[in-house]
Amino acid sequence: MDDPARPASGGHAVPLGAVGDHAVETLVARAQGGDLTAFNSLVLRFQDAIYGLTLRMLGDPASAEDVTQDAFIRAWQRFETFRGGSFRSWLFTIAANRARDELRRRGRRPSSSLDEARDDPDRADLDPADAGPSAHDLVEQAELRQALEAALWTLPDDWREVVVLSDIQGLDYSEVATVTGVPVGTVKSRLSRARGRLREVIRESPELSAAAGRLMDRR
Amino acid sequence: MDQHDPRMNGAGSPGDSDRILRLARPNGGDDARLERLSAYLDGWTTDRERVAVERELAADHVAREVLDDLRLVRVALANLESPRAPRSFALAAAPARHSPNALFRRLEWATRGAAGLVALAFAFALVRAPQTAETVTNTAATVALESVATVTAPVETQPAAKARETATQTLNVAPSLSTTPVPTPASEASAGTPVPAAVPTTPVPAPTSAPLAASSPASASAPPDIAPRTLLTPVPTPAGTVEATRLATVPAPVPTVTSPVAVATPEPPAESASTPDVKVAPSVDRAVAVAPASVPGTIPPATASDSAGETDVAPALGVLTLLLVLLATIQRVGNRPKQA
Repeated sequence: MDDPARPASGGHAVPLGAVGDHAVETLVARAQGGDLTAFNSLVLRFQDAIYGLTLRMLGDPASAEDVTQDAFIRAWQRFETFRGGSFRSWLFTIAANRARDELRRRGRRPSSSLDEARDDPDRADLDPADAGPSAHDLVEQAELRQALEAALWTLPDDWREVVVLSDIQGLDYSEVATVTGVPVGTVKSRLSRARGRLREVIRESPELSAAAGRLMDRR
Repeated sequence: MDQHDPRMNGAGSPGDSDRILRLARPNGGDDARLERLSAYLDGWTTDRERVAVERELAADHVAREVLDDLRLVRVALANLESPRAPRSFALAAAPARHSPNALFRRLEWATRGAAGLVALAFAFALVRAPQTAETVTNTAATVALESVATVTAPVETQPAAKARETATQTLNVAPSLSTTPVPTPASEASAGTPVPAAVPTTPVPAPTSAPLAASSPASASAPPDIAPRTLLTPVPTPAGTVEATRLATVPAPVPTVTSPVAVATPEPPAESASTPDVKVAPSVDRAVAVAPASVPGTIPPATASDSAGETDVAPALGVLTLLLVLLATIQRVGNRPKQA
């Protein structure tokens, strides 16, 4: 029952672009020198993560696409402002800032959610294939994901941003603090509250609770 | 609801499940505990916090349930894989890169340098004139007393013969420099003007050296403690004191000039008590006034008007320093590279 202190990325694969990723560092060095090919390699490596972040922040695939493209353009233009450290965090910072700008420009909450995007046949990739489980398990997991995605949109924007960066994108607290521009203590607070809210959603449905329990057992 | 929750089997009474929900509910009362458990789950606790949380987990099954739920949420969220990008966002052509404007950086450094120089000037002005004009007036007598000491010391180094020669002239010349309306030819030629008008002639080196030579050796010929008395004997009366004090408050003359009169008046020689003070007081003032200009080692000839001028400049320099520092700060913020 007692859970020893775990690394912040526990449960996640080794995050792309983390400090120490030699391939990324090499590409970053080349891109800083003006090598567009190297930069495009970085783009291809991180574009899914960046697009996922902006989509979950904005809820609108078209806006997320625009913001993602703009984030990469800005990253190229201002590459010299990257002073080392985690390239992924730096890239997330640019994208998150652009997404926040877009949210401020709208002056309202996102008009659509991932559920709407999922209804789009072209957006079927939002449900990643999950080989192995039975059909019943697949349905159960799909329901759980849908419930969580819907619950994410009940969170305040700043809570959602933190929980997406931490629990979906796999950034640690310090990286989340860097990306969001708030202290680590604020990250802790927002993340715990967001998790508490999502936990309520799961607990309110026995089916979701069971699905989550089985998901835990599988992992 | 809680009774149907399979994970609540063994969690205790329904009251426990309410407590668990309350723990996990934002604004539900125990946000701090929820935050501790969440941070513990991610390994973002200090050693002390970790020990406290583990002790809490060992003692409280509700805390264990909440921790399990938080872990479950985290796993479920991690299972929400990031959607794929709808297309490639690779750049077909390299957009122009932004580089910090070198001109703005140079301007920033220039502003910093200017701020430093003005700050130095401000500090210098403060050191030179730490007192306001009013303070100078109030302390004129004290400063003058020091000036007398500095004046008399070098005077003693003058050749005794020359001092003796000029000693007698002091008493003769002094009235000629008097600014009183005594209609002597000398006073008409050089200083036959009212007191304020005579002030501008004080800093002029050429004419002041002669009276200095005439006056200072006079005191040198006598014992040092007597010399000022010799000079000041014509100003023994209270009227002379008043005149000297008045001159000290006038912004034009050197504060050290009139002070000897004020200092010396309490000890007038008995034989000079009947000397008309009206004629003599300005002349003594005049004679001593030239001393700082030509005698090395005396205090700087800072007049009251000079002090007032410096105190006028100092606030302006201070304000200018602040403005330049503010401008440099603004430029620094503007030139700072932004990550996004």
